Amino acid sequence: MSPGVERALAVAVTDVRARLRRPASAWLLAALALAAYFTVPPPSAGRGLFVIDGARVRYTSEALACATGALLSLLLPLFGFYVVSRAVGHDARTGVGPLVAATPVRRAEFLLGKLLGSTIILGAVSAGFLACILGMHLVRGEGPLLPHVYAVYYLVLGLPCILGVAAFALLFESVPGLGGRAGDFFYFFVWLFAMPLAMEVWKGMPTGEPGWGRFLDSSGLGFAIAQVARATGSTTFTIGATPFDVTKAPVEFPGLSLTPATIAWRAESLLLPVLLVLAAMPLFHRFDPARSRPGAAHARWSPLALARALARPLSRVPLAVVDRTGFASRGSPVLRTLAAEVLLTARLNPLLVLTVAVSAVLAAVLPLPLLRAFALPTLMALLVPLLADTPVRETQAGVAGIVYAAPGLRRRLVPFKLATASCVALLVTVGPAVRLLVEQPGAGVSLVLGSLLFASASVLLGIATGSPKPFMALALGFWYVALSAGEHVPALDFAGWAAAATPAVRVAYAIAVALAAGTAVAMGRLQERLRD
Amino acid sequence: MLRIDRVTKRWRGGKTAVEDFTLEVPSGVLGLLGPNGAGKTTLMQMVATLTRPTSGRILFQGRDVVREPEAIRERLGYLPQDFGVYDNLTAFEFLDYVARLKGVRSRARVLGLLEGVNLHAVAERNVGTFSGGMRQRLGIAQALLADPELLIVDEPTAGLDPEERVRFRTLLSELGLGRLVILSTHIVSDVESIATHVAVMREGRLVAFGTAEHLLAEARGSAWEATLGSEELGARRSTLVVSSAVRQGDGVHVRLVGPAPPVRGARPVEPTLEDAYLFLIRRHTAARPDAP
Repeated sequence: MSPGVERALAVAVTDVRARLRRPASAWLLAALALAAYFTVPPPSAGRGLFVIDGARVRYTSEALACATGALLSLLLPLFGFYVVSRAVGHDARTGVGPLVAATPVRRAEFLLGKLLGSTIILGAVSAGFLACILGMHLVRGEGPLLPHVYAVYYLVLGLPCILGVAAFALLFESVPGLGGRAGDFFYFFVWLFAMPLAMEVWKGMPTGEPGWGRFLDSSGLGFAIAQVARATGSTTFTIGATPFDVTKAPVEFPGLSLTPATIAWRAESLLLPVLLVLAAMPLFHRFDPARSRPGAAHARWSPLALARALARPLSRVPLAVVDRTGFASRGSPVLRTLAAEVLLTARLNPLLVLTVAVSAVLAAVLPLPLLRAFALPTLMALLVPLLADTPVRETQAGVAGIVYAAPGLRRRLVPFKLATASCVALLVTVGPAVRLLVEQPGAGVSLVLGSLLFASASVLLGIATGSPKPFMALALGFWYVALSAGEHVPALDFAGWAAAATPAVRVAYAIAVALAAGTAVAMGRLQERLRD
Repeated sequence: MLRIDRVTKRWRGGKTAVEDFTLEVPSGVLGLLGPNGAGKTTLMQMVATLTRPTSGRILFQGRDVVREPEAIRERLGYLPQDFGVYDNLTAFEFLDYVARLKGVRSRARVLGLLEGVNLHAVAERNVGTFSGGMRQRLGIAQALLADPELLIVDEPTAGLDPEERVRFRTLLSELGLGRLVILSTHIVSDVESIATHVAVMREGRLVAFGTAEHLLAEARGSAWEATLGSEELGARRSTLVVSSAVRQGDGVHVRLVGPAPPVRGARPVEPTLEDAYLFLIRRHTAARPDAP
């Protein structure tokens, strides 16, 4: 084995070792098992995983492998990115990077090692999901369990998808300013934009050749849709737990047609990951302090850094006014600590002050329908990165020991974080909430509850996993589903922008807020007890 | 062995970290002294190929480090000041990882180094459970993995207890035979006992360079000893350059640095390296009145 390959393998193996031992991995496994359980609903409940022209598809190996593989193609590019992102950033943050940079490891070897590490981790995630689906086949399957069918389908659909996600993560790490929270936030919109591109494959199918989009369809979603359309001759089908017509007899899915030509189309989608990795190589800083330090010239031109640079002077005035009033140094110790936490959030992220100001202006000037349809979804999306770091920032900055030494803070850490996150969320949405409470009270209550839901979820997930990424991924995913559902699904109107939530839905969200907050407090206490 | 030729490093924000730095040093231990912000770390990062100089050349055994970084990386051991480890790897796993990156395939070498830094008993423990001193020793072990011809250590004794510090100094002294060890520190006593050459930096520039004896000779006639009352010392502290102060029954016995007797009754004494360092830094500051 050549020294270069050996070094790349060492990077990959260590990356996998270090990541799989983090507490978040245990949560991920639990989430996979849960996801698999809900992915394959019992037909007796009136829902099917795979429905063609209203008829349920029988749970054979082909049907389950194809449908769950397609779901993986949809969800892995989103959640998988958050699983493997910031691998290089972790090395820089922990201080391992300079040690690596002084070894003979070359730029390409290191990046390929990280790519391989991320591929192995995502492969393990996919394999874990597959194992759970195989378990569900044993429980709910309607035909023999054919492991080779599952293996082939997952390999064809999953491998380019995994490589695509790993390559995207690597590119984001290498582009200055996109290696952190800004990249995590921005990637979500890349995913949103990439889905329609993947669908381009469908154009020309099932009659002709696939479209140019196949080169961009590393996720495999477009490929899966095109293949299902070709195999069934139908363009009306759904994948994911969907109600079916009980009067129609279940149909058999014939399976994907995996001919050399279709395999070749799938292989062509590997072009995208290759291009992404090639683009990442010259951009990778190789831990050069001139390029990787916070505030280095390259990073100063990132979109987030520019936005921050713009927001910083604007935020100084209101923060100085708050300082002058002595607001943060009055009242009980609890209130003082809370005020200090909120002010710290604003100082660490000047965009918060800007967002609060813009939110108030929009609430005052926009017509109500526009405020609901445009401003509220935007504000709720912006709230996600603003809240994500709140529960974990001390640990991530390595100052937990100093901060938690404040009297009583450690014991009350989770309630403080819940209060801080709630204050931040309500500050962002207070303008629109007041307007809605006056003009459309139901939607106003929903907005307040939605803000509190994001706040409590950010703390729960941050405390549970020690990372801001699970909250980013789940909150943005939920935001997207709710936005897509619009007013058609009242149960998903969590923030009032559709004004469709019924009182029962609002009560359910209030219970969810309380449950998330209560679980976070209980988890914090458990962690403290285990630490002691 | 190492030649640094008119090297300048300007960060992109405009700050100059190292300016027109020239130095040539044979094998041995080079002690790099200077106050915080003098540019020591940046200089070492350039020699260790982490960052490129804005201008100038760095040659190690005649090969250009900037043009051929891979050539030096194979023969380099580097312990940065703020290095880190993966907390959820064991000490063995971490050292084995760095060994593989450096092309060291011998498991015995990894185990031997763990024994050498007295971590063999905890080799299978997660590094996250280690004390600061234990982490530092692990950092030292990784720097020695490839039996380097050039060893660069930045503030290596920070976090070590006195016994470990002496042990480490002895180790560096032994390593300096036939190879070059660059030791950056602001603890002068660390350098005093082992450095074959000493370079003093301030504001990115080389203030003085030579053997310890050479620097001591430069400072001769500038070291003084006096006994002052506590109150007098307190009142005059801002105007005096105090190298050391020991409280005794008859007052505070102080060592002072300056071109003339700084206080009445001050007796001339032979300078220590600490005195020489303070003298050279003061002299450089006096020569550049615009300096901060």
